[in-house]
Amino acid sequence: MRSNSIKEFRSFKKADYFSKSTSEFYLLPFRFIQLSENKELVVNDLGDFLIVPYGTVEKIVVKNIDPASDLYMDLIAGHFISETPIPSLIDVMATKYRTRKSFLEGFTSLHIFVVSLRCNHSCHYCQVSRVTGSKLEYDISFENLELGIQHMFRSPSPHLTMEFQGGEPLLAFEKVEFAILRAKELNKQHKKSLNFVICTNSTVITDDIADFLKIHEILISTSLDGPESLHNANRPKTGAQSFKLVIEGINRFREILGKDRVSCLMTTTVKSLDYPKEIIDTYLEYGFSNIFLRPISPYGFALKNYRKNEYETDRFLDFYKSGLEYIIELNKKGVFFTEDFTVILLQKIFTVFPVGYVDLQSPAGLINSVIVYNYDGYVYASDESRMLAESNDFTFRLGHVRDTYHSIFYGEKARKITDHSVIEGLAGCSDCAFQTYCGADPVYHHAVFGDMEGIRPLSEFCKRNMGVFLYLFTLLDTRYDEVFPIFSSWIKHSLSRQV
Amino acid sequence: MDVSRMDESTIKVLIDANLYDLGVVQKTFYWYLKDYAVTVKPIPENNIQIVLQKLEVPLTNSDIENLIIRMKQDLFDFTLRNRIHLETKNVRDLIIAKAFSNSDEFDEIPPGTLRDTVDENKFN
Repeated sequence: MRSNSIKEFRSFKKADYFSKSTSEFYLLPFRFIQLSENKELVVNDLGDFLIVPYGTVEKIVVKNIDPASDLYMDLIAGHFISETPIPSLIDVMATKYRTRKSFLEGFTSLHIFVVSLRCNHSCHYCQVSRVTGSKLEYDISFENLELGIQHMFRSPSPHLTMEFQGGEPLLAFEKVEFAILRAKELNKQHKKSLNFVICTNSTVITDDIADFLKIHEILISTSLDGPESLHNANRPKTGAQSFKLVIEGINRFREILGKDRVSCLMTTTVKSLDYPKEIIDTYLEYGFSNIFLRPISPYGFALKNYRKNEYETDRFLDFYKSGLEYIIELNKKGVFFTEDFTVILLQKIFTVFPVGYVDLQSPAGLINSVIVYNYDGYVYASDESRMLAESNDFTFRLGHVRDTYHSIFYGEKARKITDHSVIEGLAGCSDCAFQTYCGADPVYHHAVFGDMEGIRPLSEFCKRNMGVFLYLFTLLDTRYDEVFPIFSSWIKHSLSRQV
Repeated sequence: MDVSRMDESTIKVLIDANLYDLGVVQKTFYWYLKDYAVTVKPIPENNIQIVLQKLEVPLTNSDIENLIIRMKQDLFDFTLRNRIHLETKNVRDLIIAKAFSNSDEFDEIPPGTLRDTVDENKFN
């Protein structure tokens, strides 16, 4: 039955409602950091942010905000304050929070198979401590491969990515071939969305391999560290120049699979730090429209050769900033080119959709997003975890493929790791303004500090991420009109690829 | 805040616990671990004692002056953070409970009725 009076809620409110002069409001959860001498940044659990004049947070906390001001409206709209103790949009807030954490729903989607530790390169920064190409005992057995594939299909995730790593996985191509054919066969029953990625140095490709890759529409991830002299210095190969072979390999993969199915990663060594522009130019020259300015990780030979690879995070941040500035200039000239780490962070800052970057997830991406089946049949919590194992640290070894799915994925060790991987509860992180966008990375902190939580004031992971976040928000504050259209185009491009 | 030098690399800071919660003080000085060995402990007469020993070079008078400015600012910021936390922790718990609820146990029927506003005006 209809009422003859207008209901007060969920319809348009009368004009006098908006002119009320009360300054009563309630705080909603948010964190803050000083961005510059005159500005501070406030960020809430949902990822909404505001850059406000310095001193605003104090005014918010003591409830001294003019309700007629734009700031008041922005704080209401951004879920920083509420006019009622329980905000009327609390269900919307919960939905945004749930969406940010929706990477947890599918559980493990990325299954990495280390089919061989053999490699034909001898990179000093190798994070997996490769062995020479003749040692067949470093290939995974067919039996262990089969057991790993069966575990993969036990994952509740409707989307599975099967990634082959090494060493150089194509040196054990018969294992890659077996795994892909077997997974496709089993998927007739499981009917999951199934992708295949091979991480290769692109120097071992035969006609048989080429035909197989084409038939099964495989994605290729390869390594290109920059210009020829830098790449060859970083990635020595006995009897040949790696750069020439990699470029030939990339071109051949593109002919077989199409340009979009071949991507590159670079590792920033001490030698790289002086050449951000040259590295980006190399990627442009060979037809790439993106680059990941990726710091070196302290695992494997990179840890053994620590002094050789050690560099200050400040130097890496200078490298990153120079590279990003150059990329912004390229975009201003009409060249669409993106920096992948920036895109990941921007997507986290401007959207609620999870990015799938395991280093910046909370709970951390190990186990619940990624798992590694190593060449010896042991199962590790992440790629970095097995890199650590090559230095005889087995902290993140979850079991063997012969063990049950439950004991590997939900066992005591998995639970212990998860306890230390929730950023919301970590010292130093729990009050950090960037918490919503950042991650815990227990493997890194274990490798460096000997415990999974680490000490944030001493953590280079924390310093680097903080440095990049502060830089991006400073750009958004001081050069918004210049950078936002570019950043926005990167986010749209990234989201369209994910769809 | 009472600051006194103990030796060439160490200072002692006394803070009134009526003004600053122990948790606030601990969170504040956690971030000094990069440059200082830090000890925080409650002492009689409702004070909190912090001992900061610089890890590398001796502590100059200029360092101490800058340190006092930094400590005051950081204590103030962490006090604000603490007040935000205390006032909002229940709402945060509710948001998270709703977000991770797989049933409708935390769902609420929004106040008011769903109607066409134009249609609604016919009843004026």
